[in-house]
Amino acid sequence: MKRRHAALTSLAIAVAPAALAACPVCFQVDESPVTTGVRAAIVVLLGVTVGVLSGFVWFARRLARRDRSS
Amino acid sequence: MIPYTIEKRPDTGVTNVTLGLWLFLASEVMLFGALFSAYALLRVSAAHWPSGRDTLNLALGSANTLILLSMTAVTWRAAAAGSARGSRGQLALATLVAVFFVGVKTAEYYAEFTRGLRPSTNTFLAMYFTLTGLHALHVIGGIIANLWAITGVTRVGERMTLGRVRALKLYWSFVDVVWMIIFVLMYLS
Repeated sequence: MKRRHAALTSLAIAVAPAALAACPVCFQVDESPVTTGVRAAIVVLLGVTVGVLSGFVWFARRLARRDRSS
Repeated sequence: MIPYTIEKRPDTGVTNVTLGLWLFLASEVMLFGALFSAYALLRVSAAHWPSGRDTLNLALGSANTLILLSMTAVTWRAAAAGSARGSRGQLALATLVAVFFVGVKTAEYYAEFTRGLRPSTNTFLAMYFTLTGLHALHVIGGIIANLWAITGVTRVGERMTLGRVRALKLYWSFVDVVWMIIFVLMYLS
């Protein structure tokens, strides 16, 4: 299954690289206020998401540690 | 009855109340995070962004910051009280202060509407009313939760009430942090 996924992904990249590129609003266009704004929004949302996910990882590690020590 | 509402679960090391509240807060962080992301998008891409200091009432905003901080301090004291009776009095005081916060916010909204400042006026005000409105809804939700904890003492007993108060302490701390971010983004910049 993993091999099939990898093969299909490689094929897609080889056949249609442009279709897989990021949207033109924030990728390889001239600097515009909207582009800068989208980048700032992505950074903020990524920061929040990474923060929340880090909390979940911390909790999972804590559970594992408690399990080992008991 | 839901297990481990009073005593801690051996595997997680916290009560189910605390764990549930942390999960709830995680979803709330994502909710406000999406709004702050929208704020970043709109602000950075805007050709002109009004100054919050000039547009909004900084004195009322600062007063509300102090009110909210003192309210959370009282909630922390309520959680530190060893008995449900002791925490009930503190929680009642915190609830009163939270009602005062909503009152000040309502007065601020009224003054802004009177001056013709509405969400449709510009993007800055749209973000301001969205963020502060959602935050005010959380304060109202916290007031309801406080009253629920105060009136539930006789029904659920001492230990469960103290657990609820500890959960409320966490909730109000989160509401505080969100307000501080809103205050800096909207009133101080």
